[in-house]
Amino acid sequence: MSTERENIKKELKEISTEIGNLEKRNPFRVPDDYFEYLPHEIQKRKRVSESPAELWLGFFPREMIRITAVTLILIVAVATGLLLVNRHDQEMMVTHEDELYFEEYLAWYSEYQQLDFYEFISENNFQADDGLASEELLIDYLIDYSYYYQQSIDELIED
Amino acid sequence: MATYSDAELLDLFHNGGNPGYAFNLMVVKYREKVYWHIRRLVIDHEDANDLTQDVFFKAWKGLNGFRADSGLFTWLYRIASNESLSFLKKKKMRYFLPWQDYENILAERVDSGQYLMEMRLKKNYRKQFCHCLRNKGSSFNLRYYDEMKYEEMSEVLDTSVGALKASYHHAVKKVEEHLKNH
Repeated sequence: MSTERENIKKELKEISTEIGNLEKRNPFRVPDDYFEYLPHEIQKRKRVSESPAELWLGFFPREMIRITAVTLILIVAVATGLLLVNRHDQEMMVTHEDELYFEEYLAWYSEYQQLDFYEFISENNFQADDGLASEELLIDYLIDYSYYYQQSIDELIED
Repeated sequence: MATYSDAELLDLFHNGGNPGYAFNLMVVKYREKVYWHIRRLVIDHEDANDLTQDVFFKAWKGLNGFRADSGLFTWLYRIASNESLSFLKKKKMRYFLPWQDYENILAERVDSGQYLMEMRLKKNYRKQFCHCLRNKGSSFNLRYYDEMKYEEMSEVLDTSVGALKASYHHAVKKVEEHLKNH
């Protein structure tokens, strides 16, 4: 190396006397004992990279892992959103309990307010296929009708 | 700690029964050269530190397949050069700035750098740095600071010896011109 150093110095002086005569100094410094700790830092990194999780992930480029992670987060976010919307829809759907409620309501209504009820049916031109309003068809009709107008059955009939 | 030749280190790595120990000896032998080579390219200590670790980590992963066609030292320099240039390209893209602007950013960092020691060489260095970036190589650094032979530089930079001599000559002239003007 010392011969090469002399060659370099000679060559430099031939190209530029001024630079060839300059004392060569490093314009930068490093933190104290940096080079002492550097091998330990590299060993530490080597050990981490050899852990099973890192080995498994090491098969894939970092960029791919990042994109996959972002995609998964987006999928989870969209799925959560859909679930919440669906739950809201399910709450709006007619359940068996609703039907029971209407049946009871109808029983009560037909018993105590038969006139109003028949008036409501005739006003809305409701007719079953056989020309008679069967109980089951009436229930379905009232359920649909109340949901359509977002009103209770009392309000519907009163209107 | 005894200093091993490249051939001895490789032999120890492949046949010594403890590749980790051989690798550690290699790190100890080349840590400073690799670090300073990177530091002169990327300027910032934190960046140079990260990249130096990356280089040795890549060397650890690739040492098994290293065929010793070139010297260990040359191989490490090549990895370091590639990593540094790739890092600078990514950083430049991150700033969305043309090369000249990015050079100015780094030059300012040199100006205000806490590790700065000498004004005259600092200015000298800034010019060299810009020159190196434009040429996507570091012929001046490898020759002037690392005292490499042209043949070794040729392997590192994958350029002919003739082209490197011309590039080095040009770089020295540029530095001289810069010093005269400042």
